[in-house]
Amino acid sequence: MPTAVQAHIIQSGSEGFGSGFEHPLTGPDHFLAMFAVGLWGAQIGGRSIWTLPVAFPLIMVLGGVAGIAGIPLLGVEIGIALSIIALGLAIASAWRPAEWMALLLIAVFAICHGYAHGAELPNAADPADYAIGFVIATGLIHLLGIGVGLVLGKPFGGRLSQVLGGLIAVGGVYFLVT
Amino acid sequence: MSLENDTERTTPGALRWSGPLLAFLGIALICALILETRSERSVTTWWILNSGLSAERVMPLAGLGVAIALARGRHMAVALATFLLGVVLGIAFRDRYLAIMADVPGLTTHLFLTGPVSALTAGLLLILPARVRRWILPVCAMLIGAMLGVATTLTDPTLHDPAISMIATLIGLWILAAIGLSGHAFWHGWFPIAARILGSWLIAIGLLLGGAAIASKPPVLARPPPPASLTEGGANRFETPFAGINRQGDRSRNAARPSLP
Repeated sequence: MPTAVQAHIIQSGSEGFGSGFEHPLTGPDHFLAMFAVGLWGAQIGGRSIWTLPVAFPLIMVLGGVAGIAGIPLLGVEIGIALSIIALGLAIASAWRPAEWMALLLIAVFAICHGYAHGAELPNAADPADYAIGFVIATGLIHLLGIGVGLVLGKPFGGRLSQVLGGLIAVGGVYFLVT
Repeated sequence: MSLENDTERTTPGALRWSGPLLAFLGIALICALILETRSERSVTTWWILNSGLSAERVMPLAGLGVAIALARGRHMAVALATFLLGVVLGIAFRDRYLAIMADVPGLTTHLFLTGPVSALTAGLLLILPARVRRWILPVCAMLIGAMLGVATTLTDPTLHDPAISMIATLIGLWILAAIGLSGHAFWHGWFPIAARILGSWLIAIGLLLGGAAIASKPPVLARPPPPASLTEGGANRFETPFAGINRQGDRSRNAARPSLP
């Protein structure tokens, strides 16, 4: 299992809202994936600006509930690293697939991310506050990605977004091999 | 015409700032309660800060407030009325609700899913199309109000003080009115998109909370330590406080020592 991605699983005994809120912000693998979802949505444009960030948390909870229930799911951490690579490459190549295809891809990755967090949720001292903080922070990272994508989408024909996507993909490779 | 495309959402000047003013007054009151020293806090103050204003209670109400902001004036009034009716019904029929939910495992420690049901309801309300939202808003407001009523009576530290229920209702109305009026007065075209994103968050929160309550793994008992060996003392044998002092009969340590003449 890649060791750097193991940092994604937080330690037991975590507490309420603050712990849930800071978890996505301090886990670089999760942060990059959430940011990339928003950035890609902004790059695709149209309805995808909001359908991708809306779909991601909704599907993520399916994986989360599976994690809470302890249903075994293999390769979650590798899936998380691959999600960063795939999203980064999609942005770098300015890939604009059909909406259903983008949502399908997002769904697979969202289940991996949700599972990792769901497995941790019952250990939180206050699961309610933890979940609220976690979801809000995740949504804010999506919004950050959308904002950055909209700002970088205009100058140089969107090349800056593509460069950023390439850097995200490199980050995913790092998580996969270390 | 879709409500979300309504560009004639003008609020009279005097009413325009009523939402932000309400929000400011409420926040100032909450700050005053927080600044009270802990020794001065009454049970009611403690309940307001720890339960009445908890994120689990406030988030669904904020979602309902946003849904009200997306609606027209008369829908707003109906929603507020059905919300109040829901609170009353929740308090009155609490025991019946608890009896219905009693068979679901793990709910007694999670306020019988009042938080997740409220969050899911508010989230669904926000992501549905505007023309559907308009019609189910009163029903959803009543359901969220009922869940608030149940949760309030379950967390009431005084067990019988009607002031707690009254304060919970006022907090709910304050959140709905402050967000609803502000959203109405300062309408922007991107509000519906932001509302849908908020709705997806609320659904995610509701499902995670419900999942944590129902699908949580049973606690795993730690394995007991292996029984200590009677002959060697095993891993748990007593250690000698001082290395130089030992029992006379302990051959394992005395064997290497020269015996005294």
